[in-house]
Amino acid sequence: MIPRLFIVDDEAPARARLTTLLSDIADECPHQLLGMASQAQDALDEIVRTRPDIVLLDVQMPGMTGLELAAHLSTELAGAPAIIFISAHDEYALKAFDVHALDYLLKPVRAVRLAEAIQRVSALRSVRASQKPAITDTAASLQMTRRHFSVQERGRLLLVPIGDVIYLKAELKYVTLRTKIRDYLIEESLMSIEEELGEVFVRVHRNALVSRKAIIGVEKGLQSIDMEGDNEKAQESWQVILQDVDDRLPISRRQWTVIKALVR
Amino acid sequence: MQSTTVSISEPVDTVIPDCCNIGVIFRILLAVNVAVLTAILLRTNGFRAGFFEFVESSILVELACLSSLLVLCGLRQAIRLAPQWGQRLACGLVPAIVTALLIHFLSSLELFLYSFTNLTMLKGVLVAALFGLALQHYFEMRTRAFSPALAEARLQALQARIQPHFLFNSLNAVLSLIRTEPRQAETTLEDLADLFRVLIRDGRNMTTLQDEIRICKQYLSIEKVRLGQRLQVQWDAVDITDDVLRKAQIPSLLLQPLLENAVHYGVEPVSKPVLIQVHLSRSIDRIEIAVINPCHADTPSTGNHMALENIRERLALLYDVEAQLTTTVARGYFEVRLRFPYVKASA
Repeated sequence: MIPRLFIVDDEAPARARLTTLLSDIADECPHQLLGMASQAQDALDEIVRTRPDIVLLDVQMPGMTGLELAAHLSTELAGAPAIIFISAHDEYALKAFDVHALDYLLKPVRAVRLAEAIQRVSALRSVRASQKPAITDTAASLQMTRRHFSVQERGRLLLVPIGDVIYLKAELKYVTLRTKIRDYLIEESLMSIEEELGEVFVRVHRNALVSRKAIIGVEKGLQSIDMEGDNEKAQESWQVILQDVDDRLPISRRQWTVIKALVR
Repeated sequence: MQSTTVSISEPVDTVIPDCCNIGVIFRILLAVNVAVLTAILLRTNGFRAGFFEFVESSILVELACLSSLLVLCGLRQAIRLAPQWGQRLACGLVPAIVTALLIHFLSSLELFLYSFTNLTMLKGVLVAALFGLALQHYFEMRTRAFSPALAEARLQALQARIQPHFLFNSLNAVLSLIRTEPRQAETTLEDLADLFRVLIRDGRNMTTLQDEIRICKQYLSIEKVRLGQRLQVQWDAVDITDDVLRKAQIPSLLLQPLLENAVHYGVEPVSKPVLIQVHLSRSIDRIEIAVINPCHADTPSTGNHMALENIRERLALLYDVEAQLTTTVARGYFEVRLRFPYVKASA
């Protein structure tokens, strides 16, 4: 089977160089180049649409590092592509890559190395499965916090910058993620988000996390609480007032002291 | 060309004088006594009265000096680990505290009260602190004057270095040009060669403003190959004539690291075109250069500070207080302002 490739790099000359190299090695290493992208969201869209086998991914990219993009790809996409990372130079990153046995190539990339990497990756069927934990472990060992949530929506993978999120609210099976513009549904649990991004979000209630910088005040208000469905009743409680949205979220008694300290 | 700070341990980082050294003790006692004697002679009638008053006061002066020196001598090993400003502060604080304690305990003695009628606690402490600070400064200057080799070594250590990231990305960009645009590949390699020539040259070199700007433009054109339309640069100059450009002296590679920072923290993190502005201006005897780039909230800035600290230290070594480097962040823009004396080349 001929491996199908996709290139992600923000620099045009770097993409041009890879294309040239790929055409040079076409004889000894047959492949099919599906396309290229210069930005993370474009890359996700194209990768979801064209379903490449291997992605050649630049590690240093604006807004989102290649590693974060890889993490979103491997967690959100069933049958995610195998990834060959490409890096100009970053001692720390490369050390972490070595530790977790992730494939990478150094810029300037050599044709021979590129061919070897493609052949190795496409020969190993198990690469994709083994890459997922390696990618998340590498990101963790570099103490990299992600800057986006990834949301699956009508066959697209959307990237929502964490800074845009106003609150997250758990509802039945899903978590609703609210931004200034609209809502998204994600499948992560509030618990893991709170653990990972505790510096950004604070829990106001058992079912809600709020962005610390979005809290502009608190007020007393009537909150309807659903008692087993039939006897709905209203109860007065403290609520957070949020920036950019009219929604009010109730503050649980347990979290009240934490929130009070924040608004003071 | 991020620079790396190599710390040269002893004399440069230690600014507290060695108060256990006999030479230092002798100089300090001499200086303090001469100053006290002068002050007393100026306000008393006749030399005889003045001299007697001086002898009387020297009980306190000598006691304060020697005990301060003793304390500083004992604490020196601990104090020299502190940052330079802390060491300087200690040299003012220790005499002040020692004097305060002395006055406190001695003021119960009748003899003491009789001798120092117009000495208040505040006056004594203030004078002691001022003596401490002044003498510390004198010894620091003296150390520096006697060991220019250390300053030179420090300057060399602060020399701008190549950032591997830049080198490999540039080489990669040139490789991509070789087949399609051989001419541009040639120019880019020539620029890279020029830049490296300056980089491997001695870091203590001075150059002309004109040459520094040329190197900066070559650096930017290398980055432009890689970043394309994303990198936009606007230069403007006020009161900078060709004559000034040719004659004004500037430490080699002073401006280039600022532009490199602007590219790294202003342009690289976003995929949209970004404008970097460079303003050059002159006011009689000073040259001012400002580099302005948009800043992005979520980019780490540790490297940034390091390069700036480096330049700041180079300026301090070369110009002392005559040059400044200030940074401001306002309305989403990061601005670095560099001011240094307009010194004409001798040639």
